[in-house]
Amino acid sequence: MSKDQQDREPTLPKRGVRRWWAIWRRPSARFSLGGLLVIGVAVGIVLWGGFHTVVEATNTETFCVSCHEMGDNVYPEYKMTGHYANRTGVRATCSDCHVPDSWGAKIMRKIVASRELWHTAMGSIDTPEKFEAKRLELAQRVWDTMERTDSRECRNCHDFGYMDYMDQSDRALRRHQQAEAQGETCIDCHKGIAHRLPDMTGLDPSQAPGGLEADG
Amino acid sequence: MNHSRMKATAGWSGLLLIVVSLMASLAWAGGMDSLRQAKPLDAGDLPPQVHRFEEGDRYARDYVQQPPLVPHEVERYQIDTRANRCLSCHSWANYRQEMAPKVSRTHFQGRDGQDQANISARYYFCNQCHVPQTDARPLIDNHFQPLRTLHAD
Repeated sequence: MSKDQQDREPTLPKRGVRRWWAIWRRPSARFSLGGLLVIGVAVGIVLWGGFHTVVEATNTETFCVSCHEMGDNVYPEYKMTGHYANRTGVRATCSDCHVPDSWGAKIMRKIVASRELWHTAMGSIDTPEKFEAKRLELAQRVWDTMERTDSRECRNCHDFGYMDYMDQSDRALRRHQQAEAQGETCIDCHKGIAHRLPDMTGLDPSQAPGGLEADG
Repeated sequence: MNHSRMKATAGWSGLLLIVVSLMASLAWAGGMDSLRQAKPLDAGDLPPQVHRFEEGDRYARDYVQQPPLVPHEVERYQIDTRANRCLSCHSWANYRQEMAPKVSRTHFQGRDGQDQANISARYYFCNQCHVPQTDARPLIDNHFQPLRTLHAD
């Protein structure tokens, strides 16, 4: 080997991380830039598509209720409601309400949701009793999120701008207009529409029976 | 019990069974009045008619003690020890914001007649008395006349 060739192709370290790092950093002498670009884009499409397929798979109802915490507690309640089945067959499933549509917010939600894996492993709510004990805390977390985002996920379907008030009952018409004027958000009133309510008597004592007993 | 007496008991029991089943079938043939009437077990009944609630104008009461009817849908309203969907609008704390009629003061009275700070447990389950107004007609014709002091028409 002449001295020239040695300059052009520096020898690689024999083994270990340093060798891989060197290969990674060294410009290709064999493949054309165009070829690398085409292959890179193709691989990128496959990986990106694969990533999205997986993310979308975690958005399906089947996936959500595959954990018994969901399947045994909130799912049967949801099945009783209009968002599960109704006259028209237009429905909103778990992810339509609990996962944002826009990409950034969706990925953030998915990252935050990974804590659920931890709690499944810990068995935090693995019995109906444990779930009931935490129901208010869990519900409150969802309500807080919806208040913060101005019920963003509700409004993917229910838009004040497209509500035909004339087609609503007097009661709904009056109250929706009041809500719009007062800047209220959907979840302020529409709690417990897809799941059973937790114990509300702490938040609203006027929903508790008696009063004397409650105060004593 | 010896062998022959066991045999005799078995024989009498068999005879009794036959007599009882014969009587039962006779009674059936004679039009025994059960809740199913004389329908065979495998024949279904017509489902009861579902009456649609009528939203909007409130129905007048027919007699003084009548619990007012509910002029809106209440299907799947949660009323239990944890929450009361009715009171989330009709309680004294909430009725002004929701522009809803408030619960009558009579409902605050406990068993011994003393007033409580909120709706009494005796009146807590609203839909025991208050039902949505519907177009349902009386199942059996009758001559009941509503009080003219309560009806404007």
